[in-house]
Amino acid sequence: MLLGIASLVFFIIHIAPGDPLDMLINQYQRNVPSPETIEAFRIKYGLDQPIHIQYFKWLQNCLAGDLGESFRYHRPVTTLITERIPFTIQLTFLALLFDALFGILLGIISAVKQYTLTDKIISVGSLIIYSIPGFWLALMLILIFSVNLGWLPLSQTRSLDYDLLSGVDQFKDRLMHLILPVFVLGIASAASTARYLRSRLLEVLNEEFILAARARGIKEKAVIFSHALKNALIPIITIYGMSLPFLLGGSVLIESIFSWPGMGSLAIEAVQNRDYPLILATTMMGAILVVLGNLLADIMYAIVDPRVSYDT
Amino acid sequence: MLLEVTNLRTSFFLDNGELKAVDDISFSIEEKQTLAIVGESGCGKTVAAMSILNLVSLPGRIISGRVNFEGANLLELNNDKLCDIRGRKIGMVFQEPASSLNPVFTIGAQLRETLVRHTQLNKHEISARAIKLLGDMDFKEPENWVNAYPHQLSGGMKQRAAIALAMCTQPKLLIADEPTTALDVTVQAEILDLLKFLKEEHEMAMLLISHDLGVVAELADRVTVMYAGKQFENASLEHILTVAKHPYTQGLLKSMLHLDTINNDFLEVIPGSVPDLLDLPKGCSFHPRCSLKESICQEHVPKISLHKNNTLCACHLVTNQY
Repeated sequence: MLLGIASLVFFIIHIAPGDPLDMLINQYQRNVPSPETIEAFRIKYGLDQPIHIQYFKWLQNCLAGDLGESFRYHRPVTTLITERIPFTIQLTFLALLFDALFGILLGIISAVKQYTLTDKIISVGSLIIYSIPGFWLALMLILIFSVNLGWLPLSQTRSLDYDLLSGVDQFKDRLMHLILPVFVLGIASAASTARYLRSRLLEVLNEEFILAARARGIKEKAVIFSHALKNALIPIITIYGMSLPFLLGGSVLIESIFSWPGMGSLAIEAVQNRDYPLILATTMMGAILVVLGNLLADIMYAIVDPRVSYDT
Repeated sequence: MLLEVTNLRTSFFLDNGELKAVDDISFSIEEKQTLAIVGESGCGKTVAAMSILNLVSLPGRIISGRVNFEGANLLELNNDKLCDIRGRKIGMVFQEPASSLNPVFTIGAQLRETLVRHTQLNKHEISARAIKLLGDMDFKEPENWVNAYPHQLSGGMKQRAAIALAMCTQPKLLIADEPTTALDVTVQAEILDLLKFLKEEHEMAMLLISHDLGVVAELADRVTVMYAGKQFENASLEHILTVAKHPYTQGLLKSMLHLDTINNDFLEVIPGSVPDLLDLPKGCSFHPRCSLKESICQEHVPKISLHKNNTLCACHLVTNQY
């Protein structure tokens, strides 16, 4: 299946209009390289070959673990990815943490206080937040907190004078840069987690074993936090398993807006530059992560739900 | 008197009206006595049982009545005190063992949780007690079964585990809501024997809810018949099985399968079906199905009244006959 995805992506980007060389030429607007230079470049990256030869060559290298060299950066694709991944993990891990913390908390509150004002505020609020496009929210928050109030930095992972700061201030500086992107990434998924958990929890609270637990005199707190929550969290835990591609692949939009040097912005740069090896590598990685994420979700399912087992 | 329910009314407030699931029911259970509530599906038996433990949830609400248990009105107790009675003094067994056990906890975990809640035993004693409880419920090798999840048990085993949960603290009263309905016939007998044994062993009172007169005949000392939220008759088991006066009770008895009627081609049935609780017929709610009805039945709701042999009956005709 991965091979299929790889091949599909390979041919699509070659069919798509635009040529990496055009982009290269655009780079040197003022002194356009000579036709010989362009030709040399073409030969260097094998773009003069027929497409099927290019394909098999790429496939062969791929299987040998060589993802090629970026047209744009003139460096191996694998190096570029390993450079970018830590930034993405940093951002999305915190966002997931934010999501889990607030999503689960609000979901529980909202379910326990069903039909009260608190519940309604949480439900409507999360619906609104969930419906707001992330990029718009990001821009608005930048406008408010960075441009107007000046409390938080605009973008990037650190300030220009980062190197001059003391250790503690360096840490603080990085933290300040993380706040907005983590918030924007986390809040939408927290809203959906809260909504999903609320409905799951309400469903579970109607089950007979909840009634049975109450009939045994189990205190309401234990009924909700142990009996109901454990059942309601099962599908949610598996959803977190499936967020693996997001964790490593990053968010294209948010990373671009905050100039965050992660996988998402790498992918978009690759597309903009028609950087074939890099496009292939980032999409392949996405595909692999989706597959692995699903696998992880299944494994987690088996761990948390005693009714599921794969040992047959 | 161990349990005394007086004038209990529980309604469900739905969008299209008030559904009177339990409409002015009174009964009592003495120590060591077993009372059976009998009636067709949807007649309010389960809601009556839930009301005793104040476990009716919205849109249902207990409107009025008293539930006196050992001198205290359970409907007026605060939540903490009520939780101390639930599971400690009154145990409950549900109809569907597959759904009354929490699927994500082992049987042992659920037993231990209940024991921790209601006893002062230490960790070691609790684990031992959990295993002993399963052993008492006829589990072979209970030390292995405590670590099993509900889905690994058969239907009968699940129900025995559920009974173990209800018996954790040797309650004074066990409420058994259709404890055998969801089980195979052979397993039904097994559960019935177990309940019978437990009842005698622990000198426990029992409130049995059932639509199966066969089960009732096995366990009950006294029977109360419910129909469409109302109580029709309340008498000793013997009386119900032999000289029941109410036409509905008679109909129920006739529709039972007997060995001597088994050769007949047809089993007698009560014609029609249970009325919609939101749209009850005027007068006696049973009159559209009653073969003996008279004009008064269509006009006035019969009051439940005391007859000889400490028997209660709600029928215009029965009053006339006595």
